[in-house]
Amino acid sequence: MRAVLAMLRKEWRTEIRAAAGLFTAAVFAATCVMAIAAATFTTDLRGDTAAGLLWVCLLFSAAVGIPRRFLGEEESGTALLLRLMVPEEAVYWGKWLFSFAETVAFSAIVSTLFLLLTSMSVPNPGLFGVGMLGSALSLSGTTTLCSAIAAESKNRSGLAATLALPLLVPVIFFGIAALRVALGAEVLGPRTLDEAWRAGWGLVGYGIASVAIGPTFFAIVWKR
Amino acid sequence: MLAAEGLGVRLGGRWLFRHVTFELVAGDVLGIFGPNGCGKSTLLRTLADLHRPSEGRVGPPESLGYAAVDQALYRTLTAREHLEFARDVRGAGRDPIDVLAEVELDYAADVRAEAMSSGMRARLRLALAIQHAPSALLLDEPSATLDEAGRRVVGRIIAGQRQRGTVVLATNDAAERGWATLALDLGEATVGGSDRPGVAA
Amino acid sequence: METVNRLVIGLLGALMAVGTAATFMVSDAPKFQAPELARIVFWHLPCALVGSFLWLAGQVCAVGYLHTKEARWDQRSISAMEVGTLFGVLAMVTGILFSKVQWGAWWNWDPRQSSYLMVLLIVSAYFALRASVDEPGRRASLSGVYAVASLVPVLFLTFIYPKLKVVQTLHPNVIQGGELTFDPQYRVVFYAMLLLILGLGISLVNLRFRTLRLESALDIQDAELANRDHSAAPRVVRPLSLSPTDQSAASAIGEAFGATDHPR
Repeated sequence: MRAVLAMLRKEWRTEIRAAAGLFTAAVFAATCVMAIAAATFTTDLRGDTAAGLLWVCLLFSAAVGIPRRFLGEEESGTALLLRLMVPEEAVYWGKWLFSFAETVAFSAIVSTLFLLLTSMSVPNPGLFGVGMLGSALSLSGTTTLCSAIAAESKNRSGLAATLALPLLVPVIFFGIAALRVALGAEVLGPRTLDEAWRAGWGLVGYGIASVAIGPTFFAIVWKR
Repeated sequence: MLAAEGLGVRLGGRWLFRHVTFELVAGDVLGIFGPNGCGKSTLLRTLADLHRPSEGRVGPPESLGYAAVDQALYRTLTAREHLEFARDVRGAGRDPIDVLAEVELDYAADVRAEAMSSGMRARLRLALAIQHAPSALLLDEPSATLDEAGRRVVGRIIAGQRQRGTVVLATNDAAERGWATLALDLGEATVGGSDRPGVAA
Repeated sequence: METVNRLVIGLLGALMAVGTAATFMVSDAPKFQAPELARIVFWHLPCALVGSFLWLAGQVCAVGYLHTKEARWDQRSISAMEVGTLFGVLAMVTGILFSKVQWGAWWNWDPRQSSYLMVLLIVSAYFALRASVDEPGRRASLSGVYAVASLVPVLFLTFIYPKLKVVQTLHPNVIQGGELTFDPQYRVVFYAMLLLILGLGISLVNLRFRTLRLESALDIQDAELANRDHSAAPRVVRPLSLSPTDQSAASAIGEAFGATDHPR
């Protein structure tokens, strides 16, 4: 536990001081949202479309973060230091926790910005929250693992995204299914609402499952 | 304390070395010598469990310290923060300032690694390697970038380490050779060598 | 072993010829847009099913590899993945052709079609990963983890996604018996073709697996030959003592060669 906290503190310090990484991701996410808001300025967004567009923003901001999990450590040679000193569970949990916190923060900023710029309201904030939580869990779990897998390969940065995106297909599907209703897509009776909630909780379940099996996979990937 | 049994590493279809066997006891300083590219650093990495051997096995020590010239540090962390991090993740280790004093770097405790000279970084790597008083200390060309005072620090560290454990030293430097009590010539372990005085059946 | 293999392949070839002839002899499927061209289903659907089956088999073998760390499981896994991809691509191509005839467009974004394409993407990512790691042990571990991690998305895409109510499919539900069921004669030929193509797939996987075994055996032998010692017995490399007074360090070998007599 102490080791995990130490990992987190180290991540926080290096990320904040190297600022470039966080800054790039923030600018990227903001640009993404603004481009979409500007493009749809003249049209009234429906819940379905809005959910899809919001997901594109979330996905891309997550993808920009992928290289900063393990690829950076491997590139700068500091991964050696971690392998020598840190228990592998602590590496995984430290990296994942930081990634989760980052994803939550970025999701909050991106969705607030998105809702403000498109002047949309959230008729179902509870469902919206569950959907966002599930997305953050799934995105951070998947990107952490894929970043670890790709870290040692020859074309790291490209490969990490290539590996992560196909794995996120079910996540995208469930995420959009939940968010479209949360953003006020036409609800045809109680069954559609029910399905949307199930998609939201399904997303949370997928996220928890991917985070929980993470350490098992990570142990194989991390050990040389 | 630290042992190797029939250790061999193959890289890209070529054996770097094979049949490396030894068993070290406290007080031993094993020097690994040999020409460039014969696998000195790889052997050290294999002993540190950073590289999987192609054959044979390593009898791992209870705890391990490792310092190599190519080992990177976190550019934006200070010397003190490195050692605090190491202490917390290992769950053991001395106070950062004490260790820094031992490698004569305490004056730069709050300097970030990116602002350090290569010699200062080498000292910080040594500090990280010895902070938790490991039973085996693996050093890859420890004094390569160090000045005279730095070399004396390394000599002191090796002498201190012999009191409680073993040292493995990979080097080609004549001065560093003087610290070794045992010699392992990898030039002879490299398969295909013609004269092999250090090799026995 | 060799004769058995030849026999199996010969038998498969002969049966395949009979099966092909049979696909042309059954009467046209009346409910399709182009009844005479609907025969492509005899190839298209088995290829798709066998492709999916082999991918799943490859993923299961990856679990085997991660469990046992034996190279043969990795070789089984990659053989199944490769041959599965061959059938997957064949299914895509025949599907695109038939889509043009049946629905009038090369590509429809039909759920079954797009989910198959997405699985194909996951499999491509798997091959991309394999291509970018050089060391065989690491390659097997990393791609094994990816294959297992992608099991849930692949199962979702293969079994759940096309059946969801949110997405409407154009694909005839042939197997469950929707509107467009096969007539009995058609069904017999279809199942025969499915079995034949499955047999073909498995024997191809077997061939590929055996080639990989031979390749790795050759690699090892090459390395042994290139590095062969001139002496017969394996030589052991031991450290020599540098200080004769140090009792703990003095070894018999060191003394035999003269402890301080060290060249270089």
